[in-house]
Amino acid sequence: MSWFAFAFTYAGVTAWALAMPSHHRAVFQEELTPRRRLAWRLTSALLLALALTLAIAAQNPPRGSILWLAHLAASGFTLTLLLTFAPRVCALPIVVLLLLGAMN
Amino acid sequence: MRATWRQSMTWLHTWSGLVLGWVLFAVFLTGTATYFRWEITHWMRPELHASDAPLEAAEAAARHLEQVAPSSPQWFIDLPDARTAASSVVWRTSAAQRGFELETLDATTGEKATARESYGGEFFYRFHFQFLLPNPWGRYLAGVAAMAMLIALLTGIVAHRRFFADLFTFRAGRPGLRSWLDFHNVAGVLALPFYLTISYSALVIFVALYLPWGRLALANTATASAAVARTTPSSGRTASPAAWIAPAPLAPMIRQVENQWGATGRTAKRIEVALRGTDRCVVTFTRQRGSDISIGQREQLRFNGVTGAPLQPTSRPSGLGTATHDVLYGLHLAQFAGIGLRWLCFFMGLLGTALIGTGLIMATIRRRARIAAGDAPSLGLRVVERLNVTTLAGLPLAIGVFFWANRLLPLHLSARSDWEVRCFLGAWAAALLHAVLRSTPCAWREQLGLGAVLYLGLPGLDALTAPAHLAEAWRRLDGAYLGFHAAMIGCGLLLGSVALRVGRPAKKTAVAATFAASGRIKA
Repeated sequence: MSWFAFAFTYAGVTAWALAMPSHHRAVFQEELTPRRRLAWRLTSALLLALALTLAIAAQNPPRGSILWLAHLAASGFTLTLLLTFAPRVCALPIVVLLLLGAMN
Repeated sequence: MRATWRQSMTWLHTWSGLVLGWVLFAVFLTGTATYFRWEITHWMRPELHASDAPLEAAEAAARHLEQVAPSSPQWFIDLPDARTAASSVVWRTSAAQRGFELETLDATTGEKATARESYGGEFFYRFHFQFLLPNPWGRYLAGVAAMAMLIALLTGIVAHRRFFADLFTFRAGRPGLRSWLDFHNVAGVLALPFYLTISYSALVIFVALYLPWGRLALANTATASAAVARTTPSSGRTASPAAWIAPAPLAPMIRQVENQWGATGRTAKRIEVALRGTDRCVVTFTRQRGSDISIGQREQLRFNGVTGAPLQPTSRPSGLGTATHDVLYGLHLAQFAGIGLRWLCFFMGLLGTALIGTGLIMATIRRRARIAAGDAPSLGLRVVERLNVTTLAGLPLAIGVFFWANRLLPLHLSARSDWEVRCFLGAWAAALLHAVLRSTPCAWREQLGLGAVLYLGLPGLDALTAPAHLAEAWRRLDGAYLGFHAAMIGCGLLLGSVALRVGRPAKKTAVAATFAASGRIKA
């Protein structure tokens, strides 16, 4: 359950970055249109809200929100490194985290 | 003093970060290690064998205390659990004196453990708020540092106001300030709630030490009769020592505790026997902490120490202030965290350490960039640069030496724990000397490089000096022991990669150019 919450947090953070022009360019090699920007932002908000819900469901409200904040920090840092050194595979951790969630 | 509010905040950010930066770096690094306090102890004292029967350990410890401290007025027994292998017992030497004795016991036999002496992870825990200074000065220094951190965090939000626009951006390999500033921003923003919680709760933990007047005022208004009631019996006792009233044996009480809380898992963690030898002797069993964040409200079972009969539970008066204090304290300790969250906290702690480190480095880069070609750097700048090397590279190096000393010092050296600490301090002093004597780029490279070699060499050293323990850990797939190795290899790789990058003398013109171009932070 916690791994799934982590996966959704990472996905939400990635969508957040993709709503930013420079990161969007690095990943898709094309300019970000205002419409897409809105779509990525909504996706991001939705995924992060879902992640928080999952984390709370896995624990309880105080512990779940602490876990979510910690996931947020770890996701953001991993994403930053991937966007710097390997932007095309920045979504890979989602797969890894989902697999870990399925195994546990 | 400064033209705009933001400039004032930037000035405050720079100086609160710089003046206390080195202390903060040390607090964050050793505090981060404290998340794995008992796991570090497990690696540093591998001879202690884990026990999954804490209540049997309690009986063994009680038998041992009966032999070594039969007439002591007060016993404490800390029991083994999933993260600590041994029991430890503390007893008061006599009613007249305040002296205490401490022994680590083998959990299964109850005899004094023959494991090598070492403070283990306890060293990092103590160091991160006491710095080996006499009480209470270390705690005051930690308080000043926590306040500086809080100020630096809040002013940093103003100083680096564009961090949201640059979020997830790390322009690596750029000359001058750019890469450092990117990293500083990313590290600062991502775990900001963590840093704020840690530094604020650090202040709250010792609030009664830092701001004692509220408590003093309350104590003055409290009835003086309470104080009289407390002093009268003890003064009477010293005048004519009362006859020793034999305390009841602990074993039947331990049975009752087992019935209530079970023999394993979340059962008793600590036993206190108070006022032994008097008719008011009380035995208190405190239960292993659950998943609550707050450190208050721990479950207890109490017994009359003379008859062995259970006592009514006492409820500790808890107002809103106490409850808030206990939750913040619990958040700081993070003992509610399971293994996953603990690793995440460890990671955020390292990120905070890197945040402070990059801040300190940027302070020197910026000043270097402003020196005109041909001018000598000021004395202040040279001092800051050397202290940066000593702290940022020298402290990890000294911690590496501390771990090596644990494996290399003779096993039965007397005061062995203190020798480990002396090795740590000696290595740190040597790092300072080295930073003063060598040119700064060379000092960076050599200290970081040596640190990397020490950490990466630890598994090899372990294989040479403690092969039996390492083999045992692999056989049982001991997560704590092998996790320690994994963390050490990770730290070694980190130090090594930084060693390869920093210390290359950057072209001064490029630094000045980026500084002028970025113009984000003007000191």
